[in-house]
Amino acid sequence: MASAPSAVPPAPAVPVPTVPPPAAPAKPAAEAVALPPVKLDPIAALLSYLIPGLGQVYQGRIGKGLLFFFGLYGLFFYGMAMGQGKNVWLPRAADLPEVEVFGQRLGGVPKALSYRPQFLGQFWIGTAAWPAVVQYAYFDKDQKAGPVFGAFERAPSEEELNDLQRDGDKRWDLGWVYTVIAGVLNLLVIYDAFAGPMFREPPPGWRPDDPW
Amino acid sequence: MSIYWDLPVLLVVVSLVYAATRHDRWDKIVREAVGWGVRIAAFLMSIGLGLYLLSTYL
Repeated sequence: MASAPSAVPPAPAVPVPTVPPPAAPAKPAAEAVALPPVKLDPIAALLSYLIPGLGQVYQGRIGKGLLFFFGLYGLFFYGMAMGQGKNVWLPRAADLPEVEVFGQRLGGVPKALSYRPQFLGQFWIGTAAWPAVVQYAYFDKDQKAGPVFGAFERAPSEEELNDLQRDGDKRWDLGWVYTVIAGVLNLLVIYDAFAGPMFREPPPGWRPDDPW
Repeated sequence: MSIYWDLPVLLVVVSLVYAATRHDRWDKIVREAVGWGVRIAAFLMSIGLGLYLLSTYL
């Protein structure tokens, strides 16, 4: 008796693994909107040093330039007014005791700055601090005023300083802090003019496929 | 006049100028400036409150 041929059971259906198509790699946020390279602008930086915001106005960013101008000049001169106009100066330090740093005896401007380090910050407000430099260059202790700017930003005498600190409130001291902050903030403004803001926007009308 | 009346000038100018060096769009400048202003004011007030409590109860 012939036996029926044994039927080979069909192989169970094995699901064929399907390889998903590789997903496109996600672009980092910085590449998502590729901006044109930063164009450095040293002329605008110099203008913003001379007068806060002038570099931004030169670049066509009028509103920001005006904000920097009124904000920083407002803060600087408000601070000067708090100190009755006697808190921005660079002293002539020739007659003052010697100063040594790392064994080196200081002279000239470094010595003057060691007696008035606040001026290192005030200097960056630009031309508004230049009268102090002129007063330093032409200082004559026998005169009560300088040749060009009179008593403006001239180093006060010891008696004047004593009077200010003894008779006034603390506004004289707080005033020079305001002037230093205004000068140091202008460093940020100079950098904004030089290289743009920290978070840039695409230029108007610019498309990512535009050639740079 | 108390020196504390001079502080808002500093707070407003520092907040606005710093925010304007980080952005070019006015809506972002104002939003960031308000954020910095609130944080600076809260910091100053917390120090003032701490000093007040120290001077009153210690």
